[in-house]
Amino acid sequence: MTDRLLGTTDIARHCGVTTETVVSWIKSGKLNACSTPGGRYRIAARNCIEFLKEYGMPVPEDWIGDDEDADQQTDEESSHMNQLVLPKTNVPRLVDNLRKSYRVFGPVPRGNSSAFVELDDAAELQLDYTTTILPPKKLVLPAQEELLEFNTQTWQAREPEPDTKPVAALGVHPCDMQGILRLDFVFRKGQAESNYFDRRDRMLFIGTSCNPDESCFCSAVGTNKFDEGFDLFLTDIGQSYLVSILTDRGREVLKGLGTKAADEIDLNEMAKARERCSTHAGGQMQPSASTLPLLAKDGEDAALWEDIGSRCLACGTCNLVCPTCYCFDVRDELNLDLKSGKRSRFWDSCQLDEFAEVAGGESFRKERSNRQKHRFNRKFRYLAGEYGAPFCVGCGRCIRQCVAKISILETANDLEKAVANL
Amino acid sequence: MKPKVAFFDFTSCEGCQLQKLNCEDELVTILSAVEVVNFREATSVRRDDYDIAFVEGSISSPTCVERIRKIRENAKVLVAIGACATTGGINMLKNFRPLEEVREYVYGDKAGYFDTLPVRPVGQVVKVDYKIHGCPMDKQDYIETVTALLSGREPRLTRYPVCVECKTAENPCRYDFGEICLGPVTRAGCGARCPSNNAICFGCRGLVDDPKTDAADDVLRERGLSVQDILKKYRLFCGYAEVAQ
Repeated sequence: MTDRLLGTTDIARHCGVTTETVVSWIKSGKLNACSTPGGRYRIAARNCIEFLKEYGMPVPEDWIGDDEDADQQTDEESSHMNQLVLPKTNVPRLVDNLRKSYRVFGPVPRGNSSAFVELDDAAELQLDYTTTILPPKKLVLPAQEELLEFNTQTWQAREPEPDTKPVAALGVHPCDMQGILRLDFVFRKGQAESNYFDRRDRMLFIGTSCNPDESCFCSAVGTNKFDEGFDLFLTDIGQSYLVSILTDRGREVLKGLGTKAADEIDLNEMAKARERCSTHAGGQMQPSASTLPLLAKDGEDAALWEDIGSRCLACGTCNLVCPTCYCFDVRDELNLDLKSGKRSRFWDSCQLDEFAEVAGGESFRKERSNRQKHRFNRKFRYLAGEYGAPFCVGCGRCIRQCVAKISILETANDLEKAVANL
Repeated sequence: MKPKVAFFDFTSCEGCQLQKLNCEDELVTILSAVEVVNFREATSVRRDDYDIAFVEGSISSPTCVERIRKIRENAKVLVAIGACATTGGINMLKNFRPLEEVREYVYGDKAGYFDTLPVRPVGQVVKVDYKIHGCPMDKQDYIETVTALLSGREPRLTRYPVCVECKTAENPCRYDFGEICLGPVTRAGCGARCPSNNAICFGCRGLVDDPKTDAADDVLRERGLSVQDILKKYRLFCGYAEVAQ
């Protein structure tokens, strides 16, 4: 498959237009492009060929790679369809395909859970998993990130060179994808956060259907969505995955994988599998998602917050494992030469003692009960109102991983009872 | 003028001093910024005109008391380094048994030659300006403290519990394996080194400033531990908290 990159001038010259016209094609989404660290557009020859064909323009021969024809033959039928069947035995080939253009991350077993790690070997991948310790959020918003290097003698600051290789996240569950869509909303508000979007915009997301456990409640918060945010979605239908193609970038990575078109039976299996994902998760939440903002508001003074507060270790786990928590702390570190240093940001947590401390050591959220109440409101009320859906995606991580066994589900259920009795 | 620094050890294994010598990449930079005037493990120079004293070990005999008072008089800044100096460390286990019995256990028929006292962290005998926690102390903490003192600001002391660094490292929780881990009440800064290597947190950096003991005791009781079991867990490194009560 050809990996040659073309510049806007190459394409402009071939099509007989100005480079500005090519840029406008890119900006309007007609032509897929990536950009260099210096901000220049580069177009994969493959994308350009697709574009030229779509508009009936001739394709220069030297842009076509050696095996392009072979690929097109095997997948000719499939390129027009959006539901394909991929035998599970061919998943390693998908990983290998992805690795040609992406750093590929996927779930592998870790302890009694799983974790997204960079896959050096497709054999490590365990797509059939329940949950990961940390959500794939860490790929778009790392736990620790260097923002700039500074020098106090020259008063110069320099941002680190971004890693520009595209990243593919394979095996992302719908709840976690919904988490990332919520982070997009947050980081786009006001001035879009460039560090976040530099990573986000070069990501490819391949979803998988899930194996819910008793802590999952996606359907209660409406995050069991299989076609939002993903480039491809793999639904487990037994011996194969039913691959739903949601973007052209997604279609691209399926080339040469030996997929076949899905038939009626496959589509039926897909519907059943997706139904299982949704019904197994989420019967436990009593109040409906739409009533939660009001419930959080009316439950401000409920007695249950005291009890939850006294059980809370204030260890920060619930925030750190949450797909939609995005608070961070910024620290400057001076090197031993006392001249140079770096500024970094770190994940933070509103449950920690330091979080709400201000100059002079005062804290405006000293009580653990208030911190827990704050977390509940952040998930179901404040941001939910702006976004139009809860900021809790029902992944259940905060429930599974709380050493003190505090459950946001139980809290919602108890709060409903408490408010009814107020 | 370069600040003059000195290093002293009391009841300890001297492992923290070794950590300082382990700062191989930074040693030259540190030594070009300070003048070492007293460091038994590294130089034969012995002077008492130091600005900063780094003190390792806990105070466990009348001779120790006398020496640390002298050091405090000489030093402008005193930094306690490592668990023995900051919290009493493992040495404090001695305080939970009769003093005489311990002395005989250690020194046998020569016990009479050695005076002994209940173990105390340095801060309970003289004023300590800064602490570098851990068993052994972490070399990054040491570099941070030296950098802070050289640049005239307060050293950064981690205040959140080990769970923060443990989750960030994406470790499975030790409680899920039925183990009792002190991470939720222990001061972080170690990068959750023990849980990252499949061991529990033993609490070597001492408790956080405001340990949520009501919640922690609930957690331990729920897992079938008696008060005695819980105390034993804490005693290895956090006996100081029990003594204080």
